[in-house]
Order: sequence, then structure tokens, then C-alpha cells
Amino acid sequence: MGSEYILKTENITKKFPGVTALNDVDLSLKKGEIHGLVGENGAGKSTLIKIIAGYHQPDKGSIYFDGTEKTILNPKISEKLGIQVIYQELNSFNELTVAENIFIGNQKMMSERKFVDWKKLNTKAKEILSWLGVEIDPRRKVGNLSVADKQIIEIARAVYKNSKIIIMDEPTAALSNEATEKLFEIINSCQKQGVTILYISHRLEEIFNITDRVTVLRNGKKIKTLATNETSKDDIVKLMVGKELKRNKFKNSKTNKNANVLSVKNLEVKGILHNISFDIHGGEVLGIYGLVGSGKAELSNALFGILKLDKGEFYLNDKKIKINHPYKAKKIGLGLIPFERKTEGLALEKNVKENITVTNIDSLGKRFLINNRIEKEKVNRWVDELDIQAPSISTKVNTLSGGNQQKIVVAKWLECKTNFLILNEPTRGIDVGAKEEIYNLIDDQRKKGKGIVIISSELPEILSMSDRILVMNKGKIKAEFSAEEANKEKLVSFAV
Amino acid sequence: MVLLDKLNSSGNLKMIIKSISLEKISTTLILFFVLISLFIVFSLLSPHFRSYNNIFRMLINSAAIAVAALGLSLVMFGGGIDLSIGGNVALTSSFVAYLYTLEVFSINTIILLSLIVGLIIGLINGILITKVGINAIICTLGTMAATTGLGFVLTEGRSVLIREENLLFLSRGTLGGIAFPFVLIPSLYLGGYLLMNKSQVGRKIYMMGSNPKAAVFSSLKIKKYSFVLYIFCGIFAAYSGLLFTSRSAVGMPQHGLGFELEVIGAVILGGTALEGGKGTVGGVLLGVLIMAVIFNGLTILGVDYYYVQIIRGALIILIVATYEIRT
Repeated sequence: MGSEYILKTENITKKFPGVTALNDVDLSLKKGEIHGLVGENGAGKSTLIKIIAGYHQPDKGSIYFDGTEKTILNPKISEKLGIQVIYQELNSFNELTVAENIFIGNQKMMSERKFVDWKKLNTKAKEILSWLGVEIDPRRKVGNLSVADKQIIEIARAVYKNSKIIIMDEPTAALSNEATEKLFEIINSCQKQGVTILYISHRLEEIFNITDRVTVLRNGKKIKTLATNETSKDDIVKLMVGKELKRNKFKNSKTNKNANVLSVKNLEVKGILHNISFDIHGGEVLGIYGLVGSGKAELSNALFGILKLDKGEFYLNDKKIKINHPYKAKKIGLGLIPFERKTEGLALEKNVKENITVTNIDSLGKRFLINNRIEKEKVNRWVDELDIQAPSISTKVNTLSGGNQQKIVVAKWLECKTNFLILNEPTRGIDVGAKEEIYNLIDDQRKKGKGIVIISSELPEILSMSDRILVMNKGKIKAEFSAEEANKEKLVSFAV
Repeated sequence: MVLLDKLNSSGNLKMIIKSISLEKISTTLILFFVLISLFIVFSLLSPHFRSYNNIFRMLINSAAIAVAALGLSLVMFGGGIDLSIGGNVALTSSFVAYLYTLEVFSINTIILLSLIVGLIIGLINGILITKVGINAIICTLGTMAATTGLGFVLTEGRSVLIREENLLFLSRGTLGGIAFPFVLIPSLYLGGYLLMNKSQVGRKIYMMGSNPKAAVFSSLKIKKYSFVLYIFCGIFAAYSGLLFTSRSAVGMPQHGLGFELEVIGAVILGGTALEGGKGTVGGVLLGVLIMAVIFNGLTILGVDYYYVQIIRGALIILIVATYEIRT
């Protein structure tokens, strides 16, 4: 019955005040395929998903499910059809157990006889999880699980609901390589059960790894749908950005003898970081590579005075210094672009201007006052220099794209004249074009003599940007490579 | 229109309206519109309402809530909350009564000491919340109960008549021909306005309230700031306790009962968000005035006190609902 396609959209158009988010978009998902959806931020991916999921209504166009036209008025209808979306921001109930999370909203499982049959619930949950090939105790609180495991719980929920289509929005953004592979195995076993997967990711490697076909969106329009094995990464990138991107080689190792040196000695945080020592030189990019859980994320907070140290010393040009609060870090010229852009990097309800000057409020005018003219000048300078795309400097930052938000976080540290910048996963959840801009920006700063630390789990990023690379594993530095001697295999072999 | 003239003469309102950005204008405008309409409605319903004497008394009576609301709103802009305001009022008023009956100190010393009591309450809140890390609601709920209880212990539940000129001056005296509260309160609000809208510290408070975590990552010393804000709130609440005592010439703990809810109501009504980082000093002033007009107007119309409470509660919900609907 039905057609070859489980889901088909025709001429979907959706306008929001000021922008056309989607313009005549056709998307068709074959039954049982893994279909990639790529495009820069703002290309319309999220809007398209939200229309399929029933959160938005299209202004024009139709949706066919299994050959018959459907109007998806709300998320309930789409769920009934068997469409399950796993959003980037996970919808887990942290205070509930794994089993409860899997069966949440499922009347039959949760309360057949007025009371919850825990035994049945837990056994069934265990069954589903082991079918997915993971060992997680169904009685554990989801709040205590890793991000990767939470993701798996969401997939388990989708699988249990007998979903016909599972849509995954950037599922690997916070996952380690290991966890990503596990996820791919799970996706493949879902496919074998006949589930269709729509897979959205910025990481093209993943798209090539698992998808059968891939659709490229750009500026709200569908550019093309291709069979994945008949195309190449460069082709896709070209289709996404519309213009050819040159892969810059940033590396240059002419270090300045007079440059500042920040030394970290014997950093120790019980159970997290062990005996970490390294130097950062002005004018170089130090890459720190590691998987999720290797301690690299915590390292940036430890350097910045947020995570309390059990042991460890800092030296600036051989002079001993103390960093026990970000305020101290700023004073010695250290800036941090944190891992969590939205919760640690920005006050989302505040505007571009306020977010950029927040690190340097004291310089905004004489006698404890804020001089609007001075502030605007400062802000406009960074908006121009970093090409921050915002309707105005009084726009709330939560309305901006990830790339522009990240530029604002960078701007606020450039504004207070830092000598050293630590960037923790600087391009997480950022589209290809903006990524390239962030890389150029980092390179500019390095040329200006700043010492830069990039902490990342993206190998291409680490390899293309760094002059020197440290590999972290289980809270320790396992290896150090120069740019010349480093390669993928070496880094991974020390990271796992 | 006496009311408006009074406000304009303080130079406060015009400035507030002029310099507020487009987004915030609507909140302030709504409040302004509500205030004016209530004023007109009550004036039409009762000639007594619009009499000079009544408006004068209404504004004097709202002085206590105005002072406390300013202190609380600063805390709330910074993302905190202080429920101990009522307890603070109860304790300071009782403290004044207690010291007065001892007949050891001059009234000026007593006034100063009671402000120090407020400061200490703020200090305790500040230490418990920022240093020990107790949740602000729970902490100030605790200090509210403790301070109220202490007030009853000090006075043994009795009220003490205090007819001391310098104390009465706070609510009844005049300075250059203007009632003292009409000098002090607009000055405090003007100071608050300058602090929050023009100063670097004000910006830091808003940024901290909007996202405390990001503020720390941006090198702001948020603990220091919230610590100081709680102290300010404590002193302001204590002053409000003095105003209650001065107005009634009676020192007793009952002044503070339920007061914190009235203050929080006015602050929230003024467009301040519980989650912090939002709200304006001008909005808070309008919130205070609206509460005062409703209470006074309904009372003059002979509406029973309990019904006044119901109407006031309903109106707060209605106005705050319009904020939610707009966003």
C-alpha cells in the first residue's frame, strides 16, 4: 500500500516577519532510507522539521504521508502518524528514571491498573535498550546520565512508539567519537526495522558515513537531492554555501621571541584533571584534542578560575600569578569562549551591545557612568570587524544565528584586550560558512600576537588550525605533536 | 492632576519616559495608562478622591511601600528575591519601640540604630545566600520568620506610643515647604534610576540578573554585587519600618505583617521579572502608585477592605498577564 515515499512535501513555503524561511521546498523520504539534510544556519532546516512535526503551519504547499495528503495541525497529529523528532536540545525528564523517560506519555505502559507496574516497565525498558545494544540500568535517573546516553534514551522512546520516521537534529553535536559510532549502529538497526531517518548535521563526514541520500537547503530553497555515494564532500559544501570555499592552511610557526608566555604547571583537580602542564605562547595556536569525558572541557574552566583547583600554578612570563576567578583571568589578559554558548557565553535576553561590552563595563565612561556614544563606537567597531549580522546592536541575541552569537562571545573578549584566548569547541553547532569565518578570525588574532588555545573534539578543526597539538585522555595529557608530525590516526590512537 | 504635577516637579517621570527604549516603553506606557485611567475613574466616582488632602495623604501613605519597593527591585533586577522585608519592618519598628521604652538613647540614635538593624538583616541574608549558597527564597523566608518573631519578643506583642518630633518628621515634616517624603522618595528613585540606567554598576546588575552564569564567565563578581544589593534592601526595608512607625506614632511588630507581599506585588506590577535582569525603576514607581490609587480609591468608595484585597490581587494578575501576552 501507499507509495515509494513515506513522506513527501511539495512547494512548502513559510514566511516569518521579515524573512522567507522556506521557499517552495520539496523533500521526499523513501521508505526505510537514511536521508541527510544539510544547509547553513538559517537555510531553513529547523523550520522544515518544525513544519513536518506540526509546530508550524506552512503558508503554502502540501505534505503527503505514505501517499495521502495530510494536514499536520499540531505535534500530536504528527506523532500519531509516527513521526518522532529528536531535537538538539534534549527533552529528557532529568528527575525521572530511564524507564519512565522511555514510556513517558504512554498511558498503557505507565498506568494500566491505576498503579505503575515497575517490574513490567523496567523489564520492557531493558528489552528495548538491549535491542539497541546498550546496557543502561532502566532504574537510573536520567539526570545522572551522559549526554550520549540521554540521546539513546530519546531514540529508545521513539523506537518504542513504533515511529515510522525519526528526525534527528544535530544528534552528535555533544557526542564523542565513540558515542557517535554507537549512535550510528543504532541508527542502522532502526533502518533495518524499516524506520526512515531524516538526519540533520553540520558534520559532513557523518552525512557521508551513514546517509543514503542527502538534500541540500540554502536560503530557504531546496538546492538538490543527491545519492550520497554519487557525490563528494566538496560538492556538498559548494551547494551549501553557493560559492567555492578554499580550505585555508592557517599553520605558520614563526613564533615571536618577545611574545607573552602563559605557563600552566601541575594542574590537579581530583577525579578530573591530573598533572596538566603546558605553555601557551603569543602568536601560536595550541590545539587540545580529546574525546568527551577526557577532561578537556573542564580544563578551560580550570584555567579560567571557575573550577576550583586542588593543585597547580600559573606563570605569566615566568612570574607567578593566581587565577581564582574569571576576573583575575581577565586581568592577566586571558579570555574564554566557553563550551555552552547559550548558558555560559551569553545573556540571551540582552542585546548585542550589552553582551559585547559586558567584560569591559568599567571602560564605558568616566566616573562610573556609561557613555552611550563610547559604547556604541566600541560595539560598532566589533560588529564591523567581525561582520556580526544583526538587525541592530539593540537586537536581543537570542534571535541571532549560532555563528553570529559565537562572534559576539569572541567580540566581548577582544573588547577587553586579551593576550590569550581559550576557545572551547568554538564551532559547535555552527554552519560551514560561519565556521570558516570563525577560523579566519582566530587566525587574525594569532597573527596579532595573541596566544590561542583551541579545545575541540573535531579532528579537522584541530589539525587545520593548530601549530601544536596536545591530546588529552582521562584527565591527563597523553601526547604532544607539532603540526607537521600530527595526523588523524596518531591523535585518535592517543585519545581512545 | 496634582499627582502628575507632583511627579513632574521631581523631574523624574519625564526623564524616565524620554530615555526608555522602544521595547520597554510599552510596559511603562501600559502602567502609565492604567494609572491615569484609574485616577480618572476614581475622580469621577468620588469628588473626595481628587481632593488635595486625599491625594496628599495617599502619597504620604505610599511612602513606606515606595522605599521598600525600590530596595527590593534592585535585588530583583540582579536576579535575587527578598521575602524578609515584612519581618524587617516588624523588627525595626519593634526595635524602635523597645529602645524608646529603655529611655537610654536619644531618638536620633534610635533611628540610626534601627537602620543598622536593617543593614544587619541584609548582611545576614547576603552572607547566607552568596557565601553559604542557600536559595534566596528559602533563606529570606527563614529570616522573615525569625525577624518577625524577634519583633514580637522585643515588644512582647504590645504597641508603644512614640511621640518624638524627629521620628514624626520622617513622614510629617517639611523641608523647604515640601513634605519630607516628597523630597526623599523622588530623590531615592532618581538615584535608583541613575544607578540602573546610567551607571556601570547598574549594567552589571542587569547582566548578572539576566544570566548569572554567563556573568561569571564574563568576569563579573556577581557574589559581591548581590551581597551589597541585599544589604541595601535591608536598609531600605528598615527605613520603611521607620516610616510606618512615624506615620502611626506607634512602634509595633504588626506593621510588617504581610507587607512583603504588598511590596513584591507592586514591584512585579511595575514590570519586574522574577527571573531577573528585567524591569525598570520608573516601572516600579508606577507600580507603587497604581497600588496606592487602587487601595485609596476603593476605600474612599466604601468598598470593604477584604474586597479591596480581592480586586487588588485580580488587577495584579490582569496587568502581569498583559506582559506575558505581549512577549
